[in-house]
Amino acid sequence: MLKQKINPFLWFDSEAEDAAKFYVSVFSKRKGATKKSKIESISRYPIDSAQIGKPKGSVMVVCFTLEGQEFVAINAGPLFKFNEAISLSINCKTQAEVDYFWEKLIAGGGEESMCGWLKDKYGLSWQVSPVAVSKMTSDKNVKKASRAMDAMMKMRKIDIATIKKAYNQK
Amino acid sequence: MATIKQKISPFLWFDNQSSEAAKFYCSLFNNSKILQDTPMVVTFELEGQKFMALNGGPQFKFNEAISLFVDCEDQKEVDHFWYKLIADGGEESMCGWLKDKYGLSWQIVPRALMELMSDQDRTKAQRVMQAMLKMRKIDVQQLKDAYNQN
Repeated sequence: MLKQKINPFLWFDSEAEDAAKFYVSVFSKRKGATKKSKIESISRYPIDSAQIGKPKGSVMVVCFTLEGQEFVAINAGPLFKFNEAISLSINCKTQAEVDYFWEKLIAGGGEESMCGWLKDKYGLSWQVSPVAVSKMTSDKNVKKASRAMDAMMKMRKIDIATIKKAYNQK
Repeated sequence: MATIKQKISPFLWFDNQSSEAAKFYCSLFNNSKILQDTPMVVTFELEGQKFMALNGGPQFKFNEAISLFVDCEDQKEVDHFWYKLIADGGEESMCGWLKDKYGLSWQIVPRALMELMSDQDRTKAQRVMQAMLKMRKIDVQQLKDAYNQN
């Protein structure tokens, strides 16, 4: 049973269960995680769905929780592919946390992109975003904010110290 | 800036309509508000859940690979979200799916669908699924009729 009103719903060809287990593993093993991450339920196709190549009994929908937030994944064939139009932004408090998510999420065939963006091995886009950087880039002092922004635009993984240095520069 | 309530925020890439879209979504859901509206990024809450929207240019377009699944209590709520979200240029799709005028995909799903489809009696669950596959907007009464059919 879903507790959230709105649930991000991810369309996979056939990797929904693997992907959900991967995400649950990444979030549940994070040091300092206070809320639970787990597979909540797995439901199977009640009938053959020949048009998308899914036999009766194969995994249809996986509901899972990442740090208390609910997500749904479906196996529904190769029709749609993830792109950057929707990404999942992770609020990080420390550089250690940024490093952790970055390394774990690109592992096994993911790829780095720019400005804290990456794609995991399933093609899903994530942003690993330190809260401190969002504060600096939206600072009321426009000069400081734009120096922080310029520094960030050159990065792949976000380096908080380097951005802070640019922000505080005289 | 608000403290971290949510570890993960869905982040929506718009060409240049992020502020307008955020206001539209906030007008449809209870417990919603704009948290921060800047020319680049708009942060907002729907039913207490945090979302972000970027004005990032025309590079990326929404598709069905990620949709937002709305858990509805009853037919009245299904109808509310369905008609509001397809208004002014959105489009109906199948099985409770639609696209809003910005191209974002939503699923408007009554709780009864999940309950009936996961029934222990697999023959009944199958009939419910077959009925659902023929629908655009989900009709709870028709699902129940399929479920109860002899």
